[in-house]
Amino acid sequence: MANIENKFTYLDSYGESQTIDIGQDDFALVQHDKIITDQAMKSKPTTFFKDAMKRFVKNKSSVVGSIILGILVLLAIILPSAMNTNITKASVSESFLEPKLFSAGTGWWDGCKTVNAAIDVDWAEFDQNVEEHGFEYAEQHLSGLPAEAEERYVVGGESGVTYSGISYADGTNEYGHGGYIRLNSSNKSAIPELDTNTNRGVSFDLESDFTSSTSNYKITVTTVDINDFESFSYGGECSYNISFDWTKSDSAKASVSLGKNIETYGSLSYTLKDFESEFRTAAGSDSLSLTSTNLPHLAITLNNASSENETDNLLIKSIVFSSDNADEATLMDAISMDDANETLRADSTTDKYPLTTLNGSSQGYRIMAVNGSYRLDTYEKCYGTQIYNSLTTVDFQDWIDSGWISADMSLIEDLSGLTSDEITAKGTQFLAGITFTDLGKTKCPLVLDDDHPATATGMRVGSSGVISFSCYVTMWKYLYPNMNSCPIFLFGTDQLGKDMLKYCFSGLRTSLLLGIITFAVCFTFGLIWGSIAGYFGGWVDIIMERFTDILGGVPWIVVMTIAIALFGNTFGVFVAALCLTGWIGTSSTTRTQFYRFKNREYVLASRTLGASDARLIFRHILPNAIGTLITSSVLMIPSIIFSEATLSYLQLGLTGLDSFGVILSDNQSYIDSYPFLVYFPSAIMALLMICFNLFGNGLRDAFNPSLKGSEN
Amino acid sequence: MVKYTIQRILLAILTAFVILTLTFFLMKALPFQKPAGTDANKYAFYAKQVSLGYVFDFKRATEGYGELLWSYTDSARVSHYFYIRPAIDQYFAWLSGIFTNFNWGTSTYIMPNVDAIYIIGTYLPTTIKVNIWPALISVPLGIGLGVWAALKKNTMTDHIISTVVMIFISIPSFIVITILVSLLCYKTGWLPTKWPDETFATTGEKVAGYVIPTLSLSFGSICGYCRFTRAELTEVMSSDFLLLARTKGLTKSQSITRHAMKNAMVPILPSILAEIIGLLAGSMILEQLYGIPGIGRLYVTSINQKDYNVLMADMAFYTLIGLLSGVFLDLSYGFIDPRIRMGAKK
Repeated sequence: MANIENKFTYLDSYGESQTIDIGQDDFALVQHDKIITDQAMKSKPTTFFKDAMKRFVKNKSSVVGSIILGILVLLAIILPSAMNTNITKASVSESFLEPKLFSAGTGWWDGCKTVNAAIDVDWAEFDQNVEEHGFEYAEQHLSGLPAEAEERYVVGGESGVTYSGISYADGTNEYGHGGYIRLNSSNKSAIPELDTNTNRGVSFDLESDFTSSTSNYKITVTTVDINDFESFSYGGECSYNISFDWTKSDSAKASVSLGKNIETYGSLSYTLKDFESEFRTAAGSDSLSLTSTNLPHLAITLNNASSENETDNLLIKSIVFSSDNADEATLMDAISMDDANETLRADSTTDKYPLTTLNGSSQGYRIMAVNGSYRLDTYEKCYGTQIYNSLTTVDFQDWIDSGWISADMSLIEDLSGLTSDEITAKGTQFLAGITFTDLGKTKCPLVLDDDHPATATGMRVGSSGVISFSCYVTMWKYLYPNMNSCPIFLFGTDQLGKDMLKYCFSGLRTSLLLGIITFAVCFTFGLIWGSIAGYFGGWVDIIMERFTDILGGVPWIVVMTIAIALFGNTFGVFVAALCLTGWIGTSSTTRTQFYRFKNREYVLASRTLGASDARLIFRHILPNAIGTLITSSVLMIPSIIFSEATLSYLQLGLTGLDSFGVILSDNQSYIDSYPFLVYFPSAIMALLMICFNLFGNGLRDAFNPSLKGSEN
Repeated sequence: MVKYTIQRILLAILTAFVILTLTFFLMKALPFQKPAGTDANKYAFYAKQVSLGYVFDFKRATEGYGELLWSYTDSARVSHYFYIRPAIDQYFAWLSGIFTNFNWGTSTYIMPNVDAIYIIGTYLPTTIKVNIWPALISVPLGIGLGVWAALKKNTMTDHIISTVVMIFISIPSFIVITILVSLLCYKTGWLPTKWPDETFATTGEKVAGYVIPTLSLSFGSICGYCRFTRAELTEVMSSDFLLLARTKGLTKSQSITRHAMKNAMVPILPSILAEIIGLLAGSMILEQLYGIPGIGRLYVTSINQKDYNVLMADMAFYTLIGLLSGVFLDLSYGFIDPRIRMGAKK
C-alpha cells in the first residue's frame, strides 16, 4: 500500500500558512486483539411491577396515604394485644372519662370536661348578705361549689367556677331557694273532705308539733298579688280560703274556717285563740288537744275559677306559725314556710312538713337557682382522692405489712382466744385514737398531710370481732386496688368504661380482617368465575353472565338481611353474606380482560404448541391481566368495611363483635353528652377510607398510566 | 330505538320478576311471624293471611302440614286450625294477588292489617320531599365545581377542589351525618335534633328540619358530580376537535361552551337523570339516623320487626327503582347523543 501523504495546509488567524502532517503512527486500534462478546447488562431489566412501583413512588399523595394506612394497620395489629386495659369487662365506675393527652388544666384534650350545673350555694350567707347589703351585693358575692363535684375535682378549685348569676325558674330545684307556691285552679273537680266550694289548694301536714291546745298559736299567711308579676298573662286574681282541720277521735273530720272568700293580698294573721268557740263547736265532745294523733292541717284553698277558660292563680309567699310560748317558738319555726322551694321539696327526711296538694296543682314559682360552669377533672373524680368513712383492719393491714404506714393498734384487744359468745358479751366497744403515720413510701394510698389528717375511731361490731373504723381518711383511689399510676385514656372511655383507644383499634382490626377475608374469597371466586366465562365464551359465557346479572340485581342489603335473618349474625355468616354478591365486580373485570387477551398472538402460538387450557389461563392470560385486576379489586376492601359499618350502624349487621359500625352505633346515643365517643372512631374510619382511596388511586395510576387523572 | 326500549323494559321486568321470586322463597325460609294481641286481633290477622293464600284454615287438627300455628273457636262456634301453606302455594297466591288486584299482602306490625302497598304510599312522599332539595342543589353546584376544576387543571384551585372532593367521597355518609348533627344540632342548637313532627311542628321548625338532610345528602352528590364532570371535561379538552376549534379561530370560552361542554355532558346528563330516579329510594342511613319517616326507615323497621309483607313490597320497590334507573341511564344516552345506539349490532 502506497504511503499516502496526509498533509493538510491551512491559513491561521495571522494569515500565515500552516501544515499538519498526519502519519500512520498517529492512529492506534482501540480494541486490537480483544475478543468481543455480548456483555451482561449493567442495569437490571425492569419488570411491569417494578415500573409500576417506580410510578407509584412518584405519586406523593398516594405514598403518604399508603404510609398512614400502613401505620393504621400496624396499630390495629399491635395495639389491641399490646395494651393491657380491659375492653371485655364492664367497669361502670370508669365510664365516660374524657380523652386525655395533656395534663389537667391545659384546657384541651386534658381529661376535663366543661360542666354546666346547679351550684350548691350557701343560701344562709346569701340571705344575710341581702339583709345587710341588699340583693345586688348578695348576688355579686355568691359563693358555693358545684353540687355534683367536690372542690378537689374542679380544675382550679372554687375559683375555677364561673357563676352565671341567679336565675328564676318554675318548679322545684334541689339547689334552689325562695320563691312562691303557686296554686292554680285549672283542675275543677271537687274534693269531698273539704268545703265543696274550696276544692283546690295545699294542705300543710302539721302533725306532731301541735302538742297542746290551740290557745297560744298564731298563723300569719302572706300572699302576693299576682299583678306583681307581669309574666302572668293568663288568669286573674282569685278568692281563697284558709281553714284548719283535724281528725277527731271517731275518725270524722273537724274543720274550722279561719277566713273565707279572701280577696286581699298581703299578710293575714290569725290567732287561733280568737277561734276558740269555732274550734269547740267543731270538736264537739272531743277534747281540743291537737297532737300527732289527730293530724292537724292548715289548708289554703282556691275558690272556683272566675270563668271557664281562665286559670286563677294564687301565690303564697310564706306561712309563719308562731307562739307566745318561747319553748314552742322553735317548733313553730320548724314548720313555718318561708322558703317555697324547701317546703315543696320537703319529705319525711327533712325537718319541714310536707305539703299535700289538694286536687289541683301546686308548683314552685320563681324559685331562685344559681348555675355555674366549671372544668371537671374526670380522672381526678374517678381515680383521685376519695374520702373513706369505714375501713376494716383487713383494709389497711396490707399497708402496715408493706411498711407504708404505721398504726397504733395497742388499744385493740386480742380476741383470738375467745369464743363468739364471749366476744358478744363484751359488746360494742369504742377504740379511740388510732393514728396513722406515713412512713414516706410513695405507694401509700392514704393521703397523710396537714390538710388531710387521717385518724380513726375503731369500733368492734357484733360477735365476729371484726373491727371497723369510723375514720376520715383521704385515699388515692388508683393506688388502692392494684394500679401503680393514674391511668390515661387517650381517646377516653365509653359507657362501660372501655378504653376507646384500644376499642377503636380492636374494631379496626375486626373491620380490616373482615375486609381482607371477604376480599380474598371474592377475588379468588370472581377470578375463577370470570376466567371461565371469559375464556370459554359462547353459551357458557351467556349462562354465567345471566346468573351474575340476576344475583347482581338483588339489592345487596336484601341478600345481607336475609342471610343474617336465616343464619344469625356471626362473623362467618357475615363474611359469607358479603361474599354472596361481592365477587361479581371482580368476575366481570376478569371476563373483560380475558376477552382482551385470549385472541392475542402469543396465546395462539402457545395453543398451536399444544398448551392445555389451564396452562393458557394461568401462564399466559392471567399474568397479563393481574395488574388491572388487582388495582380494580383492591378498593373492594374499604367498600366492604364501609358496607359492614353501614349495616351494623343500621343495627342490621354484626352485634357483639367490636367492629367500627358496632362501635359507632353503640355510641350514637351519646352524641350530645359525650361527642368524643363518636368523633374518635369517626376520625379513624374517615382516615382509613381516605388513605385506602389514595392508595388505590395511586395503584391504579401506577398500573395503568393512561388512566391517570381521569377519575380522581 | 322503540324496539330496543321495549326490549330493555321487558328485560328489566323479567329480571325484577326473577329477583323477587328468589327473594320470596328466601323470605319464606324465615320463621313465620305470629301476631300478638287479643284473640280478635289474631283472628283478623289469620283470616287475612288465609284470604291472601298464605295459611290453611282447617276445621280440625290436620296431620302433614307442619306445626299448628294457632287454633281458635269463633263466636259462631266454628273451630279454626291454622297451618302454613307450602311455599310454592304461597308463591302462586302471592303472584295472583299482585297480578289480579295489585295486592302485596298486609302488614303484621307497622300498621297491622293494612295493605303493604298503602304503607309504602304513606312513607314515600316524605322520602321524595327530603330528597328533592339535595338534587336541586347538588347538580348545578357539582357540575359548576367540576367545570371550574377542569378549566383550572393542575393549578392550586384544581388541587384544592380535587382534594376536598376526594376526602368527602371517602368519608362514609353516616359519619358526615353524625358530625353534622353533633355540631349543628347539639353543640350550637341551631337545628332540630330530629326530623320535626308533621302535625305539631311550626313552619320554621319544618324548614329547619330540611337543613341536615339536604346538607348531608348534597355533600356526596356534589363531590360525585364534580369528580365526574372534571374527568369528562378534561378528557374532552385534550381531544383533537377542540384543538381544531381553537385553530379555526374560536375563543377559548366559545370552544368550551359550544364544543367541550356539549360533549362532556353526554355521559353526565344520563347519570343525573338516573340519579333523580334513584332519589326515590332515599337514604336508609339518613332516614334512620334523623328519624325521617321515609321508605328507607320503613325498610329497616320492617326487617327489625319481621313485617315480611311490607319488607317484600319495599324490596320490590327498591329492586324496580334500581333496574329502571339502569334502563333509563342506557336509554337516555341515545336521546342525548344520537350517535350512540345502545344495543346496536356490530
